[in-house]
Amino acid sequence: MADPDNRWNRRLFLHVPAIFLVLFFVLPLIALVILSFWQTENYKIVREWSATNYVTLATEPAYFVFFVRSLFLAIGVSIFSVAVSWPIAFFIVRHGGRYKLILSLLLAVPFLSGEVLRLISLQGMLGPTGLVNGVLLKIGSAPLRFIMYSNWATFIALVYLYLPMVVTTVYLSLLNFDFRLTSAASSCGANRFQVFCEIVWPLNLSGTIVGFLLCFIPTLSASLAPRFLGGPSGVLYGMSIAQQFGESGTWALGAAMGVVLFLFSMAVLGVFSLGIDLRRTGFTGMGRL
Amino acid sequence: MYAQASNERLTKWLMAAILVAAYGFLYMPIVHILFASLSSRPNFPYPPEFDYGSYIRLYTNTVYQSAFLNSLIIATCTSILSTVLGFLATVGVLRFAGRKALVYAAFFAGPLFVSEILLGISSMSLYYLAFELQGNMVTAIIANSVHCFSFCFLIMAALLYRYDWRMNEAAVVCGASPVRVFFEVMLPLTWSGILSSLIVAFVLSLNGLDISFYLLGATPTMPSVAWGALRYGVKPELYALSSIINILVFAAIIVLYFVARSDRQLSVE
Amino acid sequence: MNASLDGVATPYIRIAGVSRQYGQVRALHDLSIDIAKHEFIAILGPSGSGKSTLLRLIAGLDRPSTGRIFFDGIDVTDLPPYKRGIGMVFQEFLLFPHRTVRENLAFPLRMTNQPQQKILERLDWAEAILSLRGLMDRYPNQLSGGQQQRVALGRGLVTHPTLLLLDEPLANLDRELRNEMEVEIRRYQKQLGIPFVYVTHNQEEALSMSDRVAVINGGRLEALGERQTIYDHPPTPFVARFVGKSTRFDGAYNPATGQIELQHYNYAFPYSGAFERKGDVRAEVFVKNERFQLSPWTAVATGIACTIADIVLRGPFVEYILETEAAERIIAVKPKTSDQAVLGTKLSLSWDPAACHVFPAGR
Repeated sequence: MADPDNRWNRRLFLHVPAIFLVLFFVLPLIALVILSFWQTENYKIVREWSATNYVTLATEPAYFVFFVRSLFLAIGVSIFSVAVSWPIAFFIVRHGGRYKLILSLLLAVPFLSGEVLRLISLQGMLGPTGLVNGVLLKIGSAPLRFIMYSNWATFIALVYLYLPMVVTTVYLSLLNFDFRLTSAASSCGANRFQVFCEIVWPLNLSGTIVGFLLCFIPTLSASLAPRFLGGPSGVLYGMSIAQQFGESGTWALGAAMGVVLFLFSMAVLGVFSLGIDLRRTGFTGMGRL
Repeated sequence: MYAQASNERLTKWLMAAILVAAYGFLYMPIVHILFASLSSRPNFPYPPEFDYGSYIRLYTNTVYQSAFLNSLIIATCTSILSTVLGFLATVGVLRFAGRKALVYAAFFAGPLFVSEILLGISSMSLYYLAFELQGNMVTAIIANSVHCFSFCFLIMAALLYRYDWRMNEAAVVCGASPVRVFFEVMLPLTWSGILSSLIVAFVLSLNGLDISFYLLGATPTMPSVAWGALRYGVKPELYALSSIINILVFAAIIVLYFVARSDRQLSVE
Repeated sequence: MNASLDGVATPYIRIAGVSRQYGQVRALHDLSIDIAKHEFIAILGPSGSGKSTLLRLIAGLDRPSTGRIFFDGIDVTDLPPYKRGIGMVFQEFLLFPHRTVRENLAFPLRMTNQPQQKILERLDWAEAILSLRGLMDRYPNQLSGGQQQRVALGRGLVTHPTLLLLDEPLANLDRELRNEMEVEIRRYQKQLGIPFVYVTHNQEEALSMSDRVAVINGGRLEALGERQTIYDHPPTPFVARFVGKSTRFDGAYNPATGQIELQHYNYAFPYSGAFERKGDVRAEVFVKNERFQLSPWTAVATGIACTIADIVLRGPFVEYILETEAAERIIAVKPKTSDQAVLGTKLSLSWDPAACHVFPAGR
């Protein structure tokens, strides 16, 4: 371990990316915290330390409402996505055969084409002049109101945006799962339900939770989808942050909202990672070292 | 007597049905706006037509042209920067981190668990506070790279995980210098992971709005122009733009498919 | 091909005319075996011969295309694995990585809804019989290969199954450990008095542990019999080649002299068996390497002339690598003696006509 070659290797391979992240990922988050303790007046930053922004957040019920609404939506979207992802991923892994690769890659197309473009596509489906209502009008039925400018529209949009991510994560987890363990379990006398509950689910739990979080965290801070599809009663927390940094110019308040969001996300992350005993999910360490 | 078998078949078909429904849900909007962009009646473009008027309007619109150019620059630089850093990080974690591998891996995957909007506003805060700096292309590239870095790291880590590092030692013993080891042994065996990472980072940063939005100020990029136009209602040009990008992404996926397939052939050998 | 019962009075496990087809591929072809209650049977075959398929069919992890399987007179062909009351040990052990040794061992007991008292009893039993003391609260990845193997065995045996299926359980262990475990596994089988069905491609393992050996090749049953019989009297050329280490010669039967004459060598030996077809029929001759007779070369010697090319010491045995006139290499195994053979010595190689196996090979 003490050989100098290895030290230089560590510097190059570990420290360069780590320093990059510290400078451009950690430092900005610290700047956000600092900014949240300053004020903004008339689109200018006033460098005065106070907790006013946090007091505003705590006392103004609107922000609380936005946050709770975001939270419920994020939980709903994430649970729904996980529930749908499991059968899809399971099917691809078990029955995909030679189409496994293309089936899993095709999930990435909607994911990679970007939030704005996907919202445009969705608007083409769900909007007042979109396909769904177009068809309904053609056959002489009334347009569906709940899919336009409502929290339902936001829900659909968020599922549309993050489902590919969740399916991919669960898929990768199942792909690395040794399905021969299910044979071992059923030769031990476990029926199909027991095999799932005792073996398949616990051993893929960590992958599923990562998928859940990769959906939950961005949906909690969603700003584009609700703004575009959510309608008047659909203001969400992330959207409100975007407003503070945009039109209203109250950056410091926005920063405080960002800090709250960050802390909450970290708390959720912490609860999940502490609540999970890695051993009990079959984690056996990194690499072959 | 064959209850178990028929049960199994039922679950299988149920799962298949959900899969088909999900693909339908994901792809119907994409196909719909492709038709809409090619139709003179974008609201209900059935039966499909072939009218490329909206594409011509898009092509002659100078705002979109400069936005596209900016996006291209950002995406190219971001994909290269984040892939290089991601490669270093992957090798570092898999090979040099020892007992701290898990800590480093968690740190390198960290940006995934911080939403893009937070990355955007925090970077903006830093540059503004520290340097009174308005956003520019460089800061946008850096902030995008932070986000893409985690994806690159995970993609390459997944593929390099199975790489046998003794191969490098074997090459060194044969007299190859570290640089030649990389080009003659590692690169041929890992190029699929590196290429996948480049493609994914490129496409992600080409289409990402949140980060660029806060770090670019008035410089237009493709998603920000699209977002601006969206507020004044959806026009067929936007459908056209979206369709072009979707087709590009689809092509990228096909490339990824063949890359991954050829990689599998390599590993079978 | 229907195997005889070989003195088995009432078959405890009966595999009757089982076939398994995957699409176009025939993995198993009309295979029948009866297994007695106290029997240790080895299923021996090269990889891809269908032996693992057979094991999966017995376990219920797969379903035969045709044919039935009976346990103790009851047709279990359509029963899922968890209703068959079997135990199984896998080549890769397949211990549940998220469970401790104790939980792995308790798993089959919990799945069959045993009362808590019974579970504790059985765990104590397994801990004692498999000498797992002090390991019960470890996770599988904290165990050595041999320890994992014992836990896997324990998980298969803990419920007192109707029979235990073993799928190459020693393939991942090193040689020394393997020899030790062979003795152990055979001891468990005798102690418990339930049939063990042991699948392997390693003929040494099959011969060292089992009572009877079933040789499978290309999805068909090549031979089934007492291990001694299979070894000493292989019924087919495949078995002769696959079981034990032997050398193959091409020869022809000369009806005039009643002798088999080898093709490349001036060596013939009497043959009393019958060749069905008349005339000059080609024959395959197999001689077990330990059955060769070596004597110093003399002018009147009748054996195959050869010289010692190399000598390999294998503990109590010596392998003479002999080079013949036809530039072929033959290995002869002899007990080690104190007198030193010299490389390059010319020898005469022959064998007792009763100790070799002759198969007609057509024209």
